Amino acid sequence: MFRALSARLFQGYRTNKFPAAAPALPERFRGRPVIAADAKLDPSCCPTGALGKDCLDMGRCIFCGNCSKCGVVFTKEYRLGAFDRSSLIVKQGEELPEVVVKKDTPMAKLCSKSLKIRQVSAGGCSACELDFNVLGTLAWDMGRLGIQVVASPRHADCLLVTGPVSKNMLTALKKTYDAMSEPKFVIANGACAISGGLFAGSDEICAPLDEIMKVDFYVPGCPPHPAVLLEALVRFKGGSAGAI
Amino acid sequence: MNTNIFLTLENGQSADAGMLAGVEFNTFRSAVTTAVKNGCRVLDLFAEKKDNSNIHKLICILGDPVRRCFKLLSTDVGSSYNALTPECGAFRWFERDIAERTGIIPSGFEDIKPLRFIRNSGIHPDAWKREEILPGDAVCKELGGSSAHEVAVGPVHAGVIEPGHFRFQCFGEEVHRLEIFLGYQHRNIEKLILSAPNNDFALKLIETVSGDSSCAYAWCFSQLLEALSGGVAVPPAGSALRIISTALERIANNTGTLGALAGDVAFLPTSSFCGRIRGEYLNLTAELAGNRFGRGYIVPGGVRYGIDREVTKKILDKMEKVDRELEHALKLMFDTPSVLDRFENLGTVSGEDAAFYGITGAAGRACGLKCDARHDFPPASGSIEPYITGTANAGSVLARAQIYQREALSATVEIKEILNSGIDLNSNYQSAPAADCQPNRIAVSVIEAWRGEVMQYAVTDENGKIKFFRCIDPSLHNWRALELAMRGTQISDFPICNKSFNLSYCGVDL
Repeated sequence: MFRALSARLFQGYRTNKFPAAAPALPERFRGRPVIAADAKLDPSCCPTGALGKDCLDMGRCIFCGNCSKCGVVFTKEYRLGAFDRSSLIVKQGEELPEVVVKKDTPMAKLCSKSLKIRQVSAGGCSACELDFNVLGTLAWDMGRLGIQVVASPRHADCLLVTGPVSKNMLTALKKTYDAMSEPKFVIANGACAISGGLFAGSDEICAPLDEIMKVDFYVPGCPPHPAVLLEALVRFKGGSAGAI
Repeated sequence: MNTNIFLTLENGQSADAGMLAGVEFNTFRSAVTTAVKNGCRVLDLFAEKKDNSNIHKLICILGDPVRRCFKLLSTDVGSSYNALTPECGAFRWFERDIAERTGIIPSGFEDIKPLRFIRNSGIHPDAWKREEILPGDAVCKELGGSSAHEVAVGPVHAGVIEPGHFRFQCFGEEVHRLEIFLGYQHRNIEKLILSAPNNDFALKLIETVSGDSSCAYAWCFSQLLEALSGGVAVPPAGSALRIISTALERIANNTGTLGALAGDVAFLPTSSFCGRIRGEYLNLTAELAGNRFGRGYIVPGGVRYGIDREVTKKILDKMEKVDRELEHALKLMFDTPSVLDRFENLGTVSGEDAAFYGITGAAGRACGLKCDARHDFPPASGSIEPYITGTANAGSVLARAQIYQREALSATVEIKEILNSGIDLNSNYQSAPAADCQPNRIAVSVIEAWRGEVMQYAVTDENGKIKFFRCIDPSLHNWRALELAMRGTQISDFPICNKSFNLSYCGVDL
């Protein structure tokens, strides 16, 4: 036991300061894109069809940065989560918008102190799951914000779905959703769940998720950085977190 | 036996597609099984439909660790052939794949099941004459008797984890047999890669075959494209940064695995420390790539970004601290008797079984197999000597955990050696953009990912476009090991056994 205690002293207190302070993001982090008014966009450079002639759909974007060549600038703005699908469209010439905080949503009224999440992995590559799991580690410790993962859908307020909903997961996903009691909310996490992402052209998937069930919140990314997801979860339940 | 009938290729080397010899089936079968018994690794076995006929071309790719090369051979088969699995267990999952995708029945493979439960394979009737195809719906060998019972778990699990379905045949508390059913994450990724408009888009897809091994997959595919375009020389800085990003991937994943193992035996200090430390290494990957999983970093010809002296120093300073914390967190766990007691003699796979079923990577080495693609099939661009970290002999959860520990720590040394070597990593890290692939070429590329070897194989058409593609995740070789490891244990041992392999449920689109 003494060894465990001395180990604890050696390792120290390591939970980061987010959401009170801005998160530490890598130098090359690619956050919310902005498109200069005079940029000539080339949609053919985009692997997921996110880039249009005069806009970029963050719901399909994998933030690969290919379109940096034709004038899209990826900023450090990591607060990407949105309450509706249309807010994920970045229009040419538009400046970075104000981050939307809503305190009067049903989610905010019910879950502001405690949010229980049942996650379902519905296809995909597992990176979204891995970076969601990171929020449970002591570096991010989402439990201190009242956010917790639960095993049973019966205990969950919210279903967090990752992956493009493969045909073989459709039944299991629907059954999990049906097993949740009302009121219940759904978060589409990652490009796959929002739009099919890289797999949008496959005949083996059912995404977008919002055509299968009502989605209350969207978190873009491939996968969303833990800071992106945690900020989104805080805002989902009516709070606001770490400005840049 | 004349072994020259094989087409021999080195890692990252291409040949004219016409050189792949087709031989009569019995010659194929005996040449392939003899080679495997003499120490070759099974890397792939698949069937390719011949145009407008009911004949399929069966192609086998073996790895010869002694001659450090790949051996390819093909034959033609009709609606059935004499299965290879009874003689070489390493073909087991590949023959399931063949039966499912083509309807060909490998005769003599008694308990053959579908692999992915693909709904629209277009084969009617399929090998099992199924009316309706549902995931996890296949005949399971059931135990008889009043004390026998079956426990089914998944596809949705209690934690945040990928979907899979496990059926345990139990006798009282004891697990007699485990059968694993996957296919819940089937996205038909090979087809998407073939229909990708260019190789850059295909590379993005490759990085998501198994999201925790993106760097190894990207390296493997880049090497494949470099081979198909006639051999592109990767500059030393590019090679070094590929090694660094893949080593970071190895450390992060091994740390995560060990932390989760600690969590599964309720040893919370190491579980907590490792969860945080894993993130530190992912953050270092993000310093290189802008993405914690290294997405978009490794590209044909080298890597996308170099690192200047300032970033090099930043990484070295960070590692100086985190490496010590990692070593300390792991030592704490491996010095704790209650942890060792849970890990020892649990989930054991014998060396004979591991060899017979072709278990690979860290799990194979934990069974005493000398299999490491870094050593056996060095990358074409590997201007820096690969690292090999030795093998343990027990085949248990403890042996696997020790391998992860040693490999994580040696990977930290490897990275620091490169960063301290004085090599300029900020210029000449990518050779000129790779030319288009040459027409009618065939190539095999293998890279040792943190779990084991990733294999990719491609053939180009007369315009230099990839017309056939295969990709194999190490998990495909190792799921069988988990089934075997569970025999004679209890269901409560499953989380530890499962985590000790930490296989990818989605690797190769399962």
